[in-house]
Amino acid sequence: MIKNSVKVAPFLSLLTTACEEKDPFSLPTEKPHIPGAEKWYEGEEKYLKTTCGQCQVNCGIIVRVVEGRAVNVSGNPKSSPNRGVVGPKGLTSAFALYDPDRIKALLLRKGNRGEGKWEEVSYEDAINIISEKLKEKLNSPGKIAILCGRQKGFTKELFERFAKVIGTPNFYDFSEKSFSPRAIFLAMKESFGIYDLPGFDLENTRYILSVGTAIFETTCHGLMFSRSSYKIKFGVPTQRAKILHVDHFYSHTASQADEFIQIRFGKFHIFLCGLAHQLIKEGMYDKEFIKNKTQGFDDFANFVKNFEPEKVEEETGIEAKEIVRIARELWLSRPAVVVVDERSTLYTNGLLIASLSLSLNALLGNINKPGGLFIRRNIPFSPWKEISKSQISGNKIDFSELPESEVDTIFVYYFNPVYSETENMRWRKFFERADFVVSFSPFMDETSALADIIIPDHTPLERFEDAQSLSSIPYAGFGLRKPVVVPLYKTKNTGDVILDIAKKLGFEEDFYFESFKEAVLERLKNFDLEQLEKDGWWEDPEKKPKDFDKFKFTSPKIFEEPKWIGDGEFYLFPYKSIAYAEGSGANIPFLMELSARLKGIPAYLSYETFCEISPSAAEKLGLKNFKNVYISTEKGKIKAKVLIKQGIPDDIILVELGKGHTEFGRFAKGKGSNPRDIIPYVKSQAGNAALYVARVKIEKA
Amino acid sequence: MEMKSKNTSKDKEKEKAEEKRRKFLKAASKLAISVGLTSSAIPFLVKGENKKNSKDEGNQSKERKKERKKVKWGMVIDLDLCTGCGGCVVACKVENNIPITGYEKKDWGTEIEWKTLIPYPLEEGEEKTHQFLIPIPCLHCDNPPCTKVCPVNATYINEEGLVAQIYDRCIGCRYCQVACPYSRKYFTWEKPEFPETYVQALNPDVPVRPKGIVEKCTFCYHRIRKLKEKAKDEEREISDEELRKLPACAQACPTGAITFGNLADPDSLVSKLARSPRAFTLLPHLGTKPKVIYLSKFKQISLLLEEEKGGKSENEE
Repeated sequence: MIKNSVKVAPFLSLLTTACEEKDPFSLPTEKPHIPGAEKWYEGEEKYLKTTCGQCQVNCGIIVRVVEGRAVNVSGNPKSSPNRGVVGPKGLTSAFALYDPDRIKALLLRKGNRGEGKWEEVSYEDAINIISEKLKEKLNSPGKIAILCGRQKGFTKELFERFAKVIGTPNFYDFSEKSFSPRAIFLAMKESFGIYDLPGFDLENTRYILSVGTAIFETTCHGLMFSRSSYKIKFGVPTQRAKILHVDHFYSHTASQADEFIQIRFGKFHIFLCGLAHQLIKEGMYDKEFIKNKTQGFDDFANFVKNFEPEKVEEETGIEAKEIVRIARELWLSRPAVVVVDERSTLYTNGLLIASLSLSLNALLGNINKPGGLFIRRNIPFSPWKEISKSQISGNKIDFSELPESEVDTIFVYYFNPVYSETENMRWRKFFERADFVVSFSPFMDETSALADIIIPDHTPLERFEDAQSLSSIPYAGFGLRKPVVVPLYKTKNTGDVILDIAKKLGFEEDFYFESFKEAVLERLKNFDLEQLEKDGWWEDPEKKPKDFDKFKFTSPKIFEEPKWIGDGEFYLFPYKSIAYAEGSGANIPFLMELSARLKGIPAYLSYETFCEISPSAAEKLGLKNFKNVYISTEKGKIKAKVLIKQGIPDDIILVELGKGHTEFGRFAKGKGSNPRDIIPYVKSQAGNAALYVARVKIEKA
Repeated sequence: MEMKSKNTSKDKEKEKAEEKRRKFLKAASKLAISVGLTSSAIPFLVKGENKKNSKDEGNQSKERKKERKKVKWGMVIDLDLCTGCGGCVVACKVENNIPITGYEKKDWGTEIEWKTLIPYPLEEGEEKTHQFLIPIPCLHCDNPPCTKVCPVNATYINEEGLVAQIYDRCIGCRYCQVACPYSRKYFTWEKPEFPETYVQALNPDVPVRPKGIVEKCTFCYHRIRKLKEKAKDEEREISDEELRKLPACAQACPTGAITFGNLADPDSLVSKLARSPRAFTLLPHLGTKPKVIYLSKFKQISLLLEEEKGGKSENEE
């Protein structure tokens, strides 16, 4: 019997055909209508290179396109952040494109603001409406704000140029968001005079001290650490790099480290000062480098003198002998790097933490040395023509006062402050009382729902632009983003929209490009376009770090303790999930459901918010797994389910960011709650909103 | 199937039983289910008898074994590299047209994840224990418990060592799902539903499975088949390099922890890794001989699933 059936059944090959014939649920025989697919031959399959747009890291990807449909995504081996692999977010690129709740046409508000009544409008009309409105405002351009949530790229630069030309100082980029590596950017600026993230030569390093980071999760370091892990761990025989992770709870990254040391919450700065003290005390620093290439060493050494290991032990809870050991290990196993990222610098004193980490790297003398911290060279883009005249009037209003300011005309691009900023009620009010709001989001998010007019952008797989990586790659590099499918709906590249608005306003001279594509190509004059298209990625061919003048040590002036608001018994620690960033991937169910897997709970609980708490704290409060609780601050309360977890200190609760959308499609809307609703706004040292500021109370629901 | 035949043909001649059994298969599903019930209940009782009767199939199985020696697909997952990011889980779902669970379902076991992550929790009191999220696909055992209970031979081990699942033949009795000690089989409780636009992102190489059958990881067999066809067209052998990152999960893995290849070829990377001193399989004492081999400094993970089920193992690796 068995032998017969084996012969008869040629395994799964039969399946495809057999199932398609009989089974109504197999691929539909009648193909769905795909714009542009008429040009494709039956069964035609192409692998097209582009750049992923699911997060700021911008990995090079290869998209499998079958008969005009984007089916699957794999990594581009030439691209430097990912080298042929893709993370979970990138793998779902096609589902951002095929999101059922995308905005399918240009929309004009019909009813009251936020009511959700829209009417379709033609592109010409939309441009007319916007330019007429802007013409009224041009007398006092300070009333116009441009919220452009991207750190790099020509679209951002075009927005910046637009702001300059119309004369508004109120231009805001990604770094102003509450969850951004702004502190690291500023620390780099202060220390090296270069406004960029540091690069790490991980493949040659021998020791990684990770200070509260999420290097194996989701940060500006993105895939870099993950894809380098083979080289870190097994790259050179007998030379395995050690990863030491210092954090206040046992995180996902901690589980990947060779050693994990627990520290009290908000004490990273003390720990780093203690290490610096120990290194200097024992003479374990690169004297030549310090002499020739740095300034402010004496002040710094004088300042960290106060941080004796015993004092550090008292404050941080890390034993004095451990601090001595870590300092010695760092020195003896050079090249070593000290790494921080967004997660470790979102305290109010984040700038101090970032700056101290750079100072430690400088003490170890590993700046621009193999296996150390690299300063990236500039990418040789050719510039656009200078702006004919810039008449910016007034000062930039910062985020702390923006919602209360007289700004009443807002452009929103890649930014959703009504959801993703702390104390977001302020932002909601700001948008509600605004005079005119233009959104460019391809998805109906919270901010777009309050807009007057929406000109949806293409999603990354439909768009042409450059893609500059916001990550810690050691050498400069960027990718080209090209449309792999024909735009599905009536969407418009935002670059083109700005050009059209600017021209309508009479700024043809400064916006002299025919189209955005031409504007991009003008910047790429120095590059071999054919090669760029073939590889999909350009990497600094010289593979050299950038030279710098003098490194400035952390100034003692910026030393301060983190601030806390409220008198609750728990610190609230909101964190970003591997799966769906801080909420911008919540419209993709694959990612939502992965987040449950990562917590070890069944998938049907993916759409809930969890309050992760230590077993002893839960016992004290009489909390049980999966029971509802309220987490409250003075700003309000949110509902969450209890999840008891090992490895969390008794005075902290963890809440995953990314749920609690009030808009943003069927998979995100009304699922779970958003801790940023209750986190009070506190300006951090770096100037953006600090995220770890709230002390909360928990009560049973 | 064989076991069942022993049971019903106790008083009858073997040949007649064979015929009867064939009729059974053609007959209505009710019969098929009843056949299934008996077969699943009996295996342990009729073990000895079963062996005798399978002698006449000996030659055939020897031949098959020979064939299996040529190709034996296997996978190595290096847990020292794996960061538990879930990339493989997502890659698998996207590649194999696995429906989303959705927010409307409120029951355990409604999710389908051919490849999933199993948590290995931090032990209480121990400070420095590692916490793992272990990616686990179908282990494609060499001695699979699931194939032995299938009343309709919908699941069997093929010449290349893959545990196959013929969806058309499956009657959805879920015996194999119960038999699998690793819980790697999933029953489709509902008609797979995709939001209208998601249909466009479906992979045309993989069928969407109907309601009421059992499905599982195929080691991305459609990709293997495609590669074979390509190699045949170009008149060449398949190289090991091509195979290493062939399945969707291996291709996506950000750390390169997953390696695929031919375990029968001693020179392939996958068999070299499988010979590593860090190598182990899950629940080795069950004798299932999984072809998914894990590498880790911490070998006690091999008994992870046993702990979950509350049992204790006697043979530690």
